[in-house]
Amino acid sequence: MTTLRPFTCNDMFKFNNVNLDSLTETYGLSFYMQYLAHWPEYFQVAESPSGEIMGYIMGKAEGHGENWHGHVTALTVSPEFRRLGLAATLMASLEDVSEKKRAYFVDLFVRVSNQVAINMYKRLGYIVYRTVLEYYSGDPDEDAFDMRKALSRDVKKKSVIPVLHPVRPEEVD
Amino acid sequence: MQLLDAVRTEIPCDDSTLQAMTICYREIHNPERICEIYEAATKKEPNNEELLTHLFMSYVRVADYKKQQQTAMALYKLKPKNPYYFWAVMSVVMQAHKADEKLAKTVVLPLAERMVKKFVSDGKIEAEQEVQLYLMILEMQGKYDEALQVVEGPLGEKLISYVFIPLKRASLLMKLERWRDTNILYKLLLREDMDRWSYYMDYFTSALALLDSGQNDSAKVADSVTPTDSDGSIDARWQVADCTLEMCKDFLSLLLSENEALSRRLRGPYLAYLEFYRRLHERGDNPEEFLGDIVELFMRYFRNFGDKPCCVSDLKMFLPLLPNNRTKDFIQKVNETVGLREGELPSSIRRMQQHISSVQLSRCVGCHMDLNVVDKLALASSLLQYYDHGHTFNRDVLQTEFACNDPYALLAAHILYDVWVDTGSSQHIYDAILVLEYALTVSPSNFHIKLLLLRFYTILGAGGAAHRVYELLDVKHMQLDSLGYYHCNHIFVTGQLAATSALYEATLKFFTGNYKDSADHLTFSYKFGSFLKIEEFVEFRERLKNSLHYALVTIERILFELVISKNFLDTVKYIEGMDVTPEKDKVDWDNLQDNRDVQVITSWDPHLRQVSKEIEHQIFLDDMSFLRIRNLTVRCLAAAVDIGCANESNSPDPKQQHHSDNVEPVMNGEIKDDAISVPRYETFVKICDELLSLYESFTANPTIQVSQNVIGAPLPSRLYGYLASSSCCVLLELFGLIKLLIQDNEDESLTKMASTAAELVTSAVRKASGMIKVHGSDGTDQLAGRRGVLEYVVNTVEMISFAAILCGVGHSLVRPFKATLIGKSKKKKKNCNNQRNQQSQLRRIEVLNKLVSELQGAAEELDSALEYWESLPPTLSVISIFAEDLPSHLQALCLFESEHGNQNGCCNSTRSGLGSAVDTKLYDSHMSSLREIRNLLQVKIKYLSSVKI
Repeated sequence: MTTLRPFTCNDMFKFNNVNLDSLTETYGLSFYMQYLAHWPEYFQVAESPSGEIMGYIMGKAEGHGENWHGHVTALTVSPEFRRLGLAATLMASLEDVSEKKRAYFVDLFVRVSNQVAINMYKRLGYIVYRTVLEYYSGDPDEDAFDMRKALSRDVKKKSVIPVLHPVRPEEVD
Repeated sequence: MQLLDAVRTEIPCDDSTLQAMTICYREIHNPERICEIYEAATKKEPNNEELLTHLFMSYVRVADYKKQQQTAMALYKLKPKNPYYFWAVMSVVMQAHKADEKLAKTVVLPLAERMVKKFVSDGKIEAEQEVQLYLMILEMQGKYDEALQVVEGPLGEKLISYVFIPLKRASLLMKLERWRDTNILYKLLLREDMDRWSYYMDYFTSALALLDSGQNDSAKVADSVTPTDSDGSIDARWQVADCTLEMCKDFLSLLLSENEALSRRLRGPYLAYLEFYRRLHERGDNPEEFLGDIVELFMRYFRNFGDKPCCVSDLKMFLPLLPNNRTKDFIQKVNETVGLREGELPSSIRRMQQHISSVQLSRCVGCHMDLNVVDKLALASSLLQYYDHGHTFNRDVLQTEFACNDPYALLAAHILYDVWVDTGSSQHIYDAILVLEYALTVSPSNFHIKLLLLRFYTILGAGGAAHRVYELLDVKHMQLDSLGYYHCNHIFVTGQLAATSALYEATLKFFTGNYKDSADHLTFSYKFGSFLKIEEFVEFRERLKNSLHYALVTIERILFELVISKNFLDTVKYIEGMDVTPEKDKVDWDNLQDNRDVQVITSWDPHLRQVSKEIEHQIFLDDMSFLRIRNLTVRCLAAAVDIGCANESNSPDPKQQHHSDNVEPVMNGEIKDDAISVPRYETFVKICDELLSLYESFTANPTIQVSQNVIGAPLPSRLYGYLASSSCCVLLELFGLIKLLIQDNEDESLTKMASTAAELVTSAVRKASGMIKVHGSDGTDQLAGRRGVLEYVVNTVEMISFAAILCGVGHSLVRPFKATLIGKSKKKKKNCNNQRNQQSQLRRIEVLNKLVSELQGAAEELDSALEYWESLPPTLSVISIFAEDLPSHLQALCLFESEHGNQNGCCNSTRSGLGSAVDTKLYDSHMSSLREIRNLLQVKIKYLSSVKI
């Protein structure tokens, strides 16, 4: 039971019940503002009937030519509202916008250890396109899976032919 | 700065120099200068597109909308690109934002509209954002009809991403009160997605409006389906506007049957019934007649979703619909559905989750409120048994997820908190801490546990332990504002000075940094054409700038630095560096914003014990009062210090010498012009009088603290503790003393004031020692009173610190006397008058020295009281724990030494594991607070000896 609407600045005053979660990063203001200014259509929030923030998605559109694609920067759902298909709803909205923008595919990065998320993305039709070595800094650094799903414009599904050798973060464009 | 000025006079036009200068001016909070350098540069090179673009952006930074408009038009004339033109249009729209409503609607917005229309008729519209802006201008003027035409016309085809056409259409139809069309549109939208709450809301609104409009004859119903909406493949039931309650009911049942055919049922259709019930109830209709028994509506949801963690938060808003005489019935039905017999433990995770929901629901409807203390403890204990058993279901749970039995521990902690509210006995908070600390070891990422722990440690006065938990929460950036009330506001009075300083620094860094950055965010919006966001960004910027928390921390940080300053010179330097202007109040009182997230604590308390708007408002007002008194205190202290150093240096104004140091001269992001030079003394007298009348108004009309029985409510404002100390009285006496020292004569009242001030301080110290003694005596619940005593002690130390500063001022005022006295005694006295004067000067020196000595004595007395407090052994043994009732699992872990331990001592001496870890945390926190306070007192004793003559 959700109201999906564009994320607004004021939502940042009350997103604590989502962001205090240990896997959700609270970024500096500029980060959110940059996304709101540049890709407001890609920043959506799911609100409960009583007005609580249940989760949100932020993303962007980038790339040239056949690399023109939607990218999921952050997707998070409050622990209380997990396993209700909310992440799928949020992902669908991002894919929908990407379709309308005539993007070829949607991609995202996920920690190789985050099995829950990887499985969910697989259920939503994403494949592991390639591994990016030491993408997440930390102790120790962690690899990322670059996962992708082709959109209707990529008729031949060229964007989702997996790259078998791992790449370095600097090789990712 | 000089270098920057030198470069500026050269009127540079190259990009890199200008960019570098921009960065400099940005850092020193002088965005106006950025406009000036680009104005100069573009005058030199009027056809430089890049320079003009920078000039435009510089006006965006200072929100000069008129000049934005002119510059954007100049750009468009130079290079006819669409974005430039629409920058100009948007700049006009922002002028409307600033202007009064009438002017906006009659002049400004119509101009913006004409500008866009010209482009439309010339066929020059290119981008989606341009259409969005056009729609925004039409809607701001209430021209929904035209907006609808744009959406439905060829321009609407450009709307692809941000504005979803069907939704936009529906919202415009709604604004036009075309209820029939709105209703059908929302029905079709619900057909696509029956889990969208906003669709239901608008569906009900339009249906009920249609009903009230009386247009419910069926003939019109058939007409209403516009050709664009009708689709042969869709069942006619979806395409008829619902204009009677019966029709709505049929529609809800249509949705329900569709939903029940789905493999994974959605919550929407069930909650829609409850929402419809709520709306009918609100209208005074008889909802039961149409929708049946409310309990059954709840149960229909519960049977499907009782095993989801969202169950209670979904139902919470509808529970007030349940009549009091039906709650028992409801809970009974819920328990039947869960189906656990008395004492039976759930056999599956699903059953357990259902059981958790049932307990949460019974708490929500008030079942726990009626229990007595014994029953509450028994309930907490039984929940801990369920908790203990629930570990069996945690096998597959990752460390990053919440353990699935956590809610039991949280509920038990809430119930123990209730018992604390009922009895005031810290034992129960202590027990709750044990339970939560234990739960945290199992479920380290559960922030609900951390939030409660933080609160409970604070209640026990263990600021250090609270701060450790705070660090686990990793609060940063925005959260420093929205959650600042939770910890930052209260850490100082627990005596954790280092942590206080760090928190204040981090908070102010966020706010000042943001104010600089947020001007850049605005420029991004123009760059990317996100016109819909510009107004929002401007408002957001203001909201942060005017945050009450920001204003409070700004003032508290200044006071904190004054408290810890080592000597009078230190104090003077700090005040000059902070650019405190005593004559000017920098707080924008009318626009202060409440940015707290007071819903962060999840509670399953009944409606009446949730954080209400009234509670929120009251605490906001309390903190605002506190800010008022603290803000005036800073200004009075600064004015006094100002007088002191002016007297000493005899320079015209010590401030002017240091003005260019420019250490964060920002107060809530604003730069104030240099104030009109009001004679120092008059300013000082004026604001001291203000402080006096403010203090009198507070004592004459005391407010009442928010009750502790709302667990999510912020802790009471520091206002109460502050007014309960004699801080303000001491300050007022000492300010009076400074006044007299400046004037002549009135030696009598000088002596009197000094001794009153000294007596006030001494008696505050005696009171503190008394509290500590009582606190340490045998049989007292030490944890219960600790927070209060600490707060009183810290406020007293602060009082001594401010008194020391004012003695420093007095010292500067009378020290020149000493020099003249020595000089004159050599020269022989000239006349009688002069002699009298000298005697008077001598008296002043004596009075001041006596005051300083008495303050020193008081500080030393307080220090020995604290030494006594420090020497008390950890006395947690006083606490008897409800160990017998705890499940064995927890007993073993928290309270008793494991089998190889010493079994023959009393239970208190054999506590180990988590129990002793918590004891250690409480003890260490207390000791470190006392250590920090005592160290500070030593600094203050030295400070005082340096201001003796």
